[in-house]
Amino acid sequence: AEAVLRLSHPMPPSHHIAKLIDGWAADIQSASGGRIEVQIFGAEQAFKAPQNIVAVARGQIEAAASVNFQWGETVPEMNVTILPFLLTDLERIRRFPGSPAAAFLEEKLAQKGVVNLAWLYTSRLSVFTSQRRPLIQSEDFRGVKIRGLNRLVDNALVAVGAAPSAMPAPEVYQALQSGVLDAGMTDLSAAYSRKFFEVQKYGTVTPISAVYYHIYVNPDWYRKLAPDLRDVLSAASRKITIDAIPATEAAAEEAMLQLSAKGMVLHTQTAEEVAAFTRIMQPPVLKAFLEASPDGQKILDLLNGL
Amino acid sequence: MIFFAILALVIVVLLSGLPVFTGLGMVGGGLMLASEGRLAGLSEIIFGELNSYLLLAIPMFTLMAHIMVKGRIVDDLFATAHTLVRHLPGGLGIATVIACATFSAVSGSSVATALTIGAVAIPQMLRYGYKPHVAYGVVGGGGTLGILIPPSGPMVLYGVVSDTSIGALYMAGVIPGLLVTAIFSVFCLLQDRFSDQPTQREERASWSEMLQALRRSLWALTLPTFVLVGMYAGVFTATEAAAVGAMAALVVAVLVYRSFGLKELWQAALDSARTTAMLMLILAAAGVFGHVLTTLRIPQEITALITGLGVGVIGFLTALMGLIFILGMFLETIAIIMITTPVVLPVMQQMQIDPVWYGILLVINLELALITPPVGMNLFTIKAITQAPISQIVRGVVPYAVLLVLSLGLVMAFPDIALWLPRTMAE
Amino acid sequence: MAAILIERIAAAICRGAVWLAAGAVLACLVLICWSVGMRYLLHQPIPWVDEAVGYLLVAMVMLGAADALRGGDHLAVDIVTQKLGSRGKRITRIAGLLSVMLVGGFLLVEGLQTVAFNRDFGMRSTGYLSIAMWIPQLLIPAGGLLLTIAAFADLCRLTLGQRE
Ligand code: NA
Ligand code: NA
Repeated sequence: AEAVLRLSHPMPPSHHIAKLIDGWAADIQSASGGRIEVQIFGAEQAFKAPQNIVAVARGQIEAAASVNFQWGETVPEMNVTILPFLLTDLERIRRFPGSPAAAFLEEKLAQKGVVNLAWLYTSRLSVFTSQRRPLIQSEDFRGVKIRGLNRLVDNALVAVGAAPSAMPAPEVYQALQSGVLDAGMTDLSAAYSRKFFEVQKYGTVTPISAVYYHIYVNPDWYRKLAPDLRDVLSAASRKITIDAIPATEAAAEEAMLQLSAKGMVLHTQTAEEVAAFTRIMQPPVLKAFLEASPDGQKILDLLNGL
Repeated sequence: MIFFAILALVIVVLLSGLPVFTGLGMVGGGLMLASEGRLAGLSEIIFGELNSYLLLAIPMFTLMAHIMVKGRIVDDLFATAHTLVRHLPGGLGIATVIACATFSAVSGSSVATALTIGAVAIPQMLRYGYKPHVAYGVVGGGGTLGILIPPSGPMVLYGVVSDTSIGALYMAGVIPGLLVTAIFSVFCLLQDRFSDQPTQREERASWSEMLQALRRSLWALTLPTFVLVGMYAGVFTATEAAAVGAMAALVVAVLVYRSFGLKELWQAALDSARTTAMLMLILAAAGVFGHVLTTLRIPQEITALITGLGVGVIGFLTALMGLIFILGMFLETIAIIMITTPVVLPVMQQMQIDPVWYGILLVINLELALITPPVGMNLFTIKAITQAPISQIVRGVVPYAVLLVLSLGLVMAFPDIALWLPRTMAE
Repeated sequence: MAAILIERIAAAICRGAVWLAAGAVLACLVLICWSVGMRYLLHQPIPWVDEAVGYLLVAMVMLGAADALRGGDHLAVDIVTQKLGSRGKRITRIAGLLSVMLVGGFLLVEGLQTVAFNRDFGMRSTGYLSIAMWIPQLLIPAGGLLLTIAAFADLCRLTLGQRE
């Protein structure tokens, strides 16, 4: 092959986005007539999730897919989609790819030294899981030991009086089972794939954060690619960006059905509950986000304009 | 085939007596240089291998073992074990296997199990007249139970990568874990019974003697109980249990035994740092080697080869277990899971192989990996605590490796050994 | 004489490093027990402990390895070499020390390059500490340097000093 494109990502092979990426790879190989050979290294087999960014920037591997908040405070503006109840309306999610907001973030990434290829919408529904009693009203969270998401979003949990705990993912299942933690917060499909329903009776479905996996490549490698091959990449990336939206919606719906079928008692937050949680949870996270992000207000305005 | 050429190279390099971490590191680095033309970023990979919260169990359980040995808590514990089984052939060996199994219910790591029980049991077995290689064998083999009896670090990792229920995997590990414990115990008994110089058997202890022995080791026995109860009652996680256990041992050594001071604590911390450094450098080097194998797509190609054979489920699993056994000679358990599972998974789904069953087969095979030379973490662990020659340790563990292969065969032939308990629990 | 001096300096450096490593062991012990206590008794989890423990583990290994090397030989497969005569064993030791110097030197040089890259890139951890990654990564070149020093001193003793 004229070029080899190796992509590292942390998702297990059965993850719906991992499957889409396999399709993306096949599209590129066939559309380029085999001139690009794509090799996918999933499930952290080549690089661990936090290492992907530097590995791509340094050219150890050509491409990676990371969750947008993997950029943490390296590019703090990338956290914008996980701000509580901000970008969880499906219409706005549909308008995000190709929007000025997306372009702004792509520019930020380019300045850091990676070329963004695709935004893969992965989740807009999370679930608060618990064993002893459901977490419906904000008062229910008081004193609850919950595994949070990261320092930024955990501000929202603190705002409702919960005690967020950080814990490596592999420990969470047993911590929920034994009661080291009272509650979990995770993406809806992950609650199913990680088998939380085995150890948690209740689940409150909430549109708290939108999560994207994004595919990015090494700029030097990209520049050396023949222009027509770059077009092949762009076309396949546009396709996967579009395909991710119905795929994620379907995966979430399936997860909801499966969780119920497995006996989990699910409650979906009503519009009033969402409004009430937004009032409490959004301000402190927003404040922390703006303090950490030099261009925080700019991306917020762009996103609000979607 | 390039795969076997690489493995031959590793064997030659390691047999030449270089430190394992430089040997593995140089082969991995050399392959990377040959395939990529540069080595940039290797230290980032090493950093990533070491910066892993779940490895905390190694220094903490080492510390706990040092405290228990230097604080003489262990002397009482073994005196009690000896009192209880002194009339049986291989009694102390059986006691060690059972100690390993019990500790495995606390620890998710086999290295930590071999380290803690080994530091404690080997000197005692030698004292009671066991041959060195026999003592090393019991601990090396028994220590592998750490990852089969829940909790288990490798099971969690496999569960996450393969989307398999960790609870079901834990349940599925219980009966095979007890089975292997029983097989090892029977072996200890027979080994001593038919040895040319069996260890001395003594008169069965009287009830009052037993009671007295139990009373003397009451404090020592509270340690594993405390850790187990705390873990299952939701006070701390399996990884935290290592640190809490070490702290509890420290408290007992200082307050009850009054045999431990700041000076002893500092010495224990220094020893723990040295042991951890030696073992974890090998983990990191094995990680680099595994990373290079993955980027060369060697596991992918071999799996494709096996799948292409067109054999049935048992044929496929046998070939796969053979491959993992070979990888297990050179790689560390975590690396093997990360490298093989994503590659094998699609084929397994296609063949409708139960992922829980496969997970248990994988873990038994990983137990083998811990004791097969040249790279066997339990071998190195025993070497680190005894300074014995590897050949002597290997001689001791060979029978246990054979018994593990037998157990693997049993679970493969009778999947219900693994699957009965999770199925019953689910109903 | 030179060999003895080098030996003493190396021993002092390695001892200082392993003291830090032992400090890291005790720090892990205290941090974990403290965070368990805070979470269980006071319902106040300490969310940065798991990240800090990860860096302490790297510190234990990179700062403790050189002293472990000096304390005896590093873990090696001695199935063949233990059958060798004293001359063969000496050659094996020298080869082993040279390999440690090679790997240590590599960790030093490549480690510094990685630190420099991460610094320029501005990579920060995603955990609660949100620390600039090049800072804990300095442990890798530091460990490489220590391994090189320890192996060099042993090599001097083996080749210059009196034979054991
Ligand atoms: Na275990
Ligand atoms: Na092995």
